[in-house]
Amino acid sequence: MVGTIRWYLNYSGQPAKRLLKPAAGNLALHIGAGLLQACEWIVQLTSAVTQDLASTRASPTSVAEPKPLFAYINCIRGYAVLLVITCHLTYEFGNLPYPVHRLTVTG
Amino acid sequence: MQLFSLASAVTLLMSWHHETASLGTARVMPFFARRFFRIAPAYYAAAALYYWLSPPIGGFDAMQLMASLLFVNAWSPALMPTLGHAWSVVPGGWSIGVEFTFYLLFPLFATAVSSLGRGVAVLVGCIAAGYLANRLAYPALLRSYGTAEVGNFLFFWFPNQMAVFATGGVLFFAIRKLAAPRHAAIRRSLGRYGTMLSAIAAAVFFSSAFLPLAHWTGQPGKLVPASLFVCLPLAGFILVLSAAPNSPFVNRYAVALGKVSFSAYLLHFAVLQLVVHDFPSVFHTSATGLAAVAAFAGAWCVVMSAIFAASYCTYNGLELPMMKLGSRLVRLRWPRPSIAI
Repeated sequence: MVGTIRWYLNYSGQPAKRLLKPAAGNLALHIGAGLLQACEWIVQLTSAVTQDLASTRASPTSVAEPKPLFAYINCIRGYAVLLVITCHLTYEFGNLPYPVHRLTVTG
Repeated sequence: MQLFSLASAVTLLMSWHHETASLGTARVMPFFARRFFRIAPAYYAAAALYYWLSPPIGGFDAMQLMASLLFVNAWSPALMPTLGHAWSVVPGGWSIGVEFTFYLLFPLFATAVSSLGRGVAVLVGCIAAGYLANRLAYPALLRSYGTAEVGNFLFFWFPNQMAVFATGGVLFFAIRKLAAPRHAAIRRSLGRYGTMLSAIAAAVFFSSAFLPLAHWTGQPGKLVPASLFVCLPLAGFILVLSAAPNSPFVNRYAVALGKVSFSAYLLHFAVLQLVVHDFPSVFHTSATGLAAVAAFAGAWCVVMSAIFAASYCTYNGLELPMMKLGSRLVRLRWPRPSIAI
């Protein structure tokens, strides 16, 4: 699936982008270019996730790669936004048991 | 939110000290410019999105818009707003206003917090100032607003939150001390027991939900404020992770979410509205008991996936280009001084 999208972008998307450039004023062509860019991001995102899963499955006993410097800072931000989203989602469920409600709104 | 504030204080101090070490001095104007380009473009885009998605019930308010766009919306209950049905411009925008107040004061803060001891002194000063400001503001604000509105405002506003940023200052120097070669033994121990210690810190944090803590510093009848109490386990959590990079708490999924966290923060209200709020029967939002917990867990997975996908696009399409533009403008306007060797 990822390979198909990548092939499409390589052999179809890139020439299309080049064709789009001269007609910069055309809104429809701009939207087309934007969609192609979005496709590229989706491919990158999908590749990243599938690579993660593949590496987990393929080498469960291999030595872990050294983590990038200060990766923990990004992790902290990730956990922070996770807590905030969980907190605000709680208010959509008005009948959650009270202890669960108290716990999920902590963030 | 306290976790965001702690991370913000630590990373800003890291950048500030790095610049001081490499250039001999940290430059204030480039700092402000970079912060503006980091936050403002996505924030302004979010303001346009929310205006379209949920137009203000009471109509357009130019004052409210200007206060939000200039990041001074966290200085009044009417502008924050903690009043029901008032236009918030960007939901959750209070935290951006508070963060910008911290940016404005950051050069002073970074100059004052130059060691662990001074960091502790500034923290004590911030707690005292927050207590005083809240106790003075409470009766004054009650003349114009309701008790709940004032209570929420005094929790959110900068004087109540500044102790959290100050805790970040103490944490920064604790992390630095821990990274010193002479503390290698402590670091090894933290690395070995990092997962367990992080889990304990998380458990203490969540236990705060069931403790009778004050909503805001100085609230009558309650001694320990919630915002300050949770800082201790959260700071401990960060400190342990800094010394335990191989802990399962430091993983690529959390890193990926952290990178897009600002976009995720701005967009999550829209996703919650479009996905859950507008389709209550799909997500069984009125379920009760265990069914409600299961429905909540299901919705959480859907919402998190949608927010991550949307944030990934806005991070790459808006945030990163604007950050690069900001850096380019900073380099043009304030070129780095050459250092004589």
